[in-house]
Amino acid sequence: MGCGKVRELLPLCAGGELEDGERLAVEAHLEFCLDCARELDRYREVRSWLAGLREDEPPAGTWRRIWAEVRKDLPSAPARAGGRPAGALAVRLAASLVIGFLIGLGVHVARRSARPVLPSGAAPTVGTREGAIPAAVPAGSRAPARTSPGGLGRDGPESGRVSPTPARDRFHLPWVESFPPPDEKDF
Amino acid sequence: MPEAAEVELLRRCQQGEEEAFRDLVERYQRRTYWIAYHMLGNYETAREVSQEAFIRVFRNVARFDIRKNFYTWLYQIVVNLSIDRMRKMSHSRTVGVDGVGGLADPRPEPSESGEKADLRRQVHRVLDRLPPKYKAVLTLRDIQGFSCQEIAEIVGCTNATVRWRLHRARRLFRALWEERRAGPREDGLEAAIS
Repeated sequence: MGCGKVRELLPLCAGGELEDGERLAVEAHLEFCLDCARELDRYREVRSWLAGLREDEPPAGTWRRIWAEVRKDLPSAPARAGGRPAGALAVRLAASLVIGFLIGLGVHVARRSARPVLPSGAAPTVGTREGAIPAAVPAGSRAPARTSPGGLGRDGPESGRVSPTPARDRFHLPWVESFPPPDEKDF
Repeated sequence: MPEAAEVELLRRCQQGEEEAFRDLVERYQRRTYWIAYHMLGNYETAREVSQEAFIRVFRNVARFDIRKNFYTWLYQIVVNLSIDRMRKMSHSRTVGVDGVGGLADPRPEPSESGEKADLRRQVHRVLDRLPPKYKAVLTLRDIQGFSCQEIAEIVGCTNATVRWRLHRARRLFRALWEERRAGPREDGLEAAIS
């Protein structure tokens, strides 16, 4: 291998990046060519200068400042503290709302079906039979069958007194005697 | 393959743990900073680029495949950010005494004096004159000590391309160094070589 070819390879020879075959050929040439050997030394010197840059110290407080600035950006990053991605959190929240709504709806329906239809306290003709079935609600009506301590179930028409309808039941349609009482077959 | 402890650290980062991310920053900030510094030749700019690199890592860590080497990804970001910054700086600066594209910061580096400091300054000034892609491989190989294969992964090219760029970079550095040695002295400083 001649000097021209060897000098082409010297930059990589200085860094140890030659293939084995090339390296052996260059080393063999350098054994008897001082000019090429000096060239190689110069390239190695340059590498040593560059390697010398590695050992250095930054200005005081550099690491602290880097973290302080990076940390400012953390709350706005997509990854959230606590390990839950935003998308999954939104799905869980939506699911909770739906489940809560369904539970509430179920409770509401259950309460309505359990309450008796209590007559309005203002009308003396409104009343209920003694021993009215708490669940005796005409089909389609909204009033659950229920008796209460102050409710009409106790007083009955015989007493001539009508207890006021509790506030929570006032929206129910009152019983009137003109309407036949419901039979079980209606259900 | 990354080590198990780092894989676990990255997993915690992906879950948004600030403490894990801090550990990651502390583990890599030194090398990240010095890669940026040797690419840019300026402490303040190197710090800014390092910060930006870590911010980008945090924003995208959820998509990172933790089976791969994290440092390859991080240093790729640093090198690319540094090259971008070099290009912006070269467009905004006027041509210096050295010639085209001089980017060395004129501010004196802190707490440096003597022959070693002069040599460092001279080396930086020649390094700053190299084109970005040559400067990158020279920084990663001769200053930071990465292997050619690692450099290929970082800069996104083949091993053969890295070797070719190293070859060109060292030849160019040597030519520029000789040119400085033969040319007029800058700022009245003696050349640091005999």
